[in-house]
Amino acid sequence: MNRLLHLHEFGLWLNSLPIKQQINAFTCSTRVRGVVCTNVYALPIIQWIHILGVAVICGSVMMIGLRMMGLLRFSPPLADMARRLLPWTWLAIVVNVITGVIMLIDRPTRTTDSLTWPYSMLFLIVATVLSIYFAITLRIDPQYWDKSITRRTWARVLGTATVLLWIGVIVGDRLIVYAKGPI
Amino acid sequence: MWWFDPIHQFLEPIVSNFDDALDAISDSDFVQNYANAEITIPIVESLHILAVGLVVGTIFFVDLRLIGFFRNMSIRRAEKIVPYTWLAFLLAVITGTIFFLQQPRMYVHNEAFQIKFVLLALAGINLAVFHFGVWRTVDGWDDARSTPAAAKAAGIISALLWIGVLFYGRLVPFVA
Repeated sequence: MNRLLHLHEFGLWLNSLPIKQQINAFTCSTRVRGVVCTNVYALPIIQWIHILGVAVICGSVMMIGLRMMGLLRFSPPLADMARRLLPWTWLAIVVNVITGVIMLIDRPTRTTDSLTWPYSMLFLIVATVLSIYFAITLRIDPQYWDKSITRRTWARVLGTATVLLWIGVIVGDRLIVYAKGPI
Repeated sequence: MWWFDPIHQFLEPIVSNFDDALDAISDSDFVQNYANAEITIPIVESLHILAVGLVVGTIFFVDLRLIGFFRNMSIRRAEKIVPYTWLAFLLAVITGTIFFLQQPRMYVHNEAFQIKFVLLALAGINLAVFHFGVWRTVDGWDDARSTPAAAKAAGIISALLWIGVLFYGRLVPFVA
């Protein structure tokens, strides 16, 4: 996957960007010549915000997924859940993409050479598209996923997919530092 | 952390006496066996972040309801998420213990870890005060009514404490 997408070259390109020097100076992760590093808290704070985003995703869109699977002991109306929780999901996705990009550019090849990262990004895209699809269908018709047996079956399938995909995103990204590629 | 230094100085001699016992834990065959297996840490870390996400994510939305968001959602209904929170909390404790046993001496002396557990304890106290306090009168303020000040306060305190737990948890490897 990494070779197919030329991710190593992508990492090297990120490495050569001037903004990388600025981010390094900000996060202190690598010493940049001539820059005195003072914000030792920059990197933990970025990671902390990233984890807050993960928590919001677990509490919002994953709960909607579990509800669609029928795994929750209670079943609030799906459209209500989507209307209240999904705005938080969008916010968390945006915040985590921003903090994620900062961490990516901070140490590019560590991420781009990782075997799990391309998959977690793929999962992220599919999971986001699925969540947008839920939001749109439920806005058009609050009963959309309860209308027929076929729809209810699809709700279970797509709910399961959502939960598994988000778990894949979180685990895949957590494993970046462990799944080093052969390069 | 200037405000934590006095507490730390107070704790230091007490915890230092446990150091030998703590080293015995990390040196035990049981801990050494799983610590040396390459696959353990990645799996346990993955499960820990998932568990933490579910714990804080679900608590966060219940807190928002207590503060006054999502008012047309019954609070008794929102509260039904709590058993799942406890399940995830159990997973977080188990996976966290697996980390802890690997290097108990480092964790016990780690300021960020100490603060994290102070905040966790405060979150527990906050939960107990809420549960045995204003929660008893929940039938009077369920459904679309404004939540009482005590419930709002419990929600705000809980959200802040958990956000703090995440911060100091993340800080642990940085101050190690």
